[in-house]
Amino acid sequence: MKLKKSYILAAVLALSASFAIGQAKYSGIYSGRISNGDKILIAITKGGHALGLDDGGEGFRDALKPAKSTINKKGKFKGKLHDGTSVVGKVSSSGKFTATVKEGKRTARISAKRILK
Amino acid sequence: MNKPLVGVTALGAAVLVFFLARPPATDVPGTAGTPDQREMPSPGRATRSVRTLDRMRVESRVRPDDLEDLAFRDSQRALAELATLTDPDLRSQSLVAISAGWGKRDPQAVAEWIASLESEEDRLDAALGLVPGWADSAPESCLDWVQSRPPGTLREVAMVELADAWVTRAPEVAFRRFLTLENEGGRERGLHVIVSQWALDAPEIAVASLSQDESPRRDEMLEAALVSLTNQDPELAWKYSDRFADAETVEHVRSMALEAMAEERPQDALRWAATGGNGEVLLAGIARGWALNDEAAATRWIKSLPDRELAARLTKEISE
Repeated sequence: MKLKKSYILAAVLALSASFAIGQAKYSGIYSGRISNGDKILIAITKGGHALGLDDGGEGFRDALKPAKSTINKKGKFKGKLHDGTSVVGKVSSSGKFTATVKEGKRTARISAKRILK
Repeated sequence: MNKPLVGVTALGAAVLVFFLARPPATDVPGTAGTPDQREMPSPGRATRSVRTLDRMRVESRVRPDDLEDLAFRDSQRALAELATLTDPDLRSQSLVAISAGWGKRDPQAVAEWIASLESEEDRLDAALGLVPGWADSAPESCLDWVQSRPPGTLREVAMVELADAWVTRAPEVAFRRFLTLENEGGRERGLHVIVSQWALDAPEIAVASLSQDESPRRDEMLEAALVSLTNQDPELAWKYSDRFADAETVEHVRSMALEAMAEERPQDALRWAATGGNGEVLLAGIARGWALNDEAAATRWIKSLPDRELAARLTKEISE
């Protein structure tokens, strides 16, 4: 009898597991650097949005705008900083974040690694 | 057949799948609790677990992928299922799924439904589901709808999604069309998406086309494409860096290529830098890339440089 209840529980759990497949696998905290020398810290949520944090002591000045920063199921990232700067890139399931940041006419790279899942 | 053994194995596999891919307890990463906390359920925690399981029993009947299929076949039934969902994450995913499925059959109807949604967040989720499929099948109609939206987050995000879908199907057309649009945030972000992705999908064609572009934005767009290409093929990006008349832009693109190369292959990056004259901008790119994965080795290399002032500047580059 106990085993049967476990079967039911396992079936429910296995079904619910499918909800997390998608953007959730990219979630975590990423640390890295923009080519201009600034260090960055990015939090990617399980819902597929991103928050960017700078370490310049000015709080969220350069933070990504969550509503305008999305990650799809393939890990393609399209973001926007508060000052309007566009960020386009990709997150791999192994935890590497590579992107380009276009500010005016100049485009630079962003590279980061996941440091906390 | 050993039924108990099969049963236990199946149960173990199902539980393992759950723990590897279970839904988030919260949307903020790194807050799921320590293993010790998870192994010591309190009475209150157990009660919450029972409630969660009750909710899962109801909501697990409706999975986003299934909902997309259902919305394609019967949008009203899919909307009825949506109304039963209480989990915010699941509702968000379901809005995307419904508009994606329904949009394959009748994108205009989905567009009208989106306009009727009360919450801005819901409208945004639904637009994220609608636009990729619509842009793939009828990009100009989709663009008309996006441009009929009032200025704001939905319009901007929808334009970016449109660019992302369009570049996959017809990059040259998408690029030319976006250049003709009125200047707004969505257009600029869309152009960035288009040239970045085009360079990754078809670098030779993208570079040839962008190089021949006669608009005033030629160098800006080509630079964005080549810097994107550094993340996939830094050597090729370096090769195409000679397409600029401006020496500073050439050096910038080469520095980006070396930065990308140095993340995985610093010795290769050093050889390429030598062919480009070992300028400080190039060496700074190597320093940054190398330091990302091995700061100690990058520091040793910098300290080995005979020019002490250059070494000090490069050290500052990776420590700031």
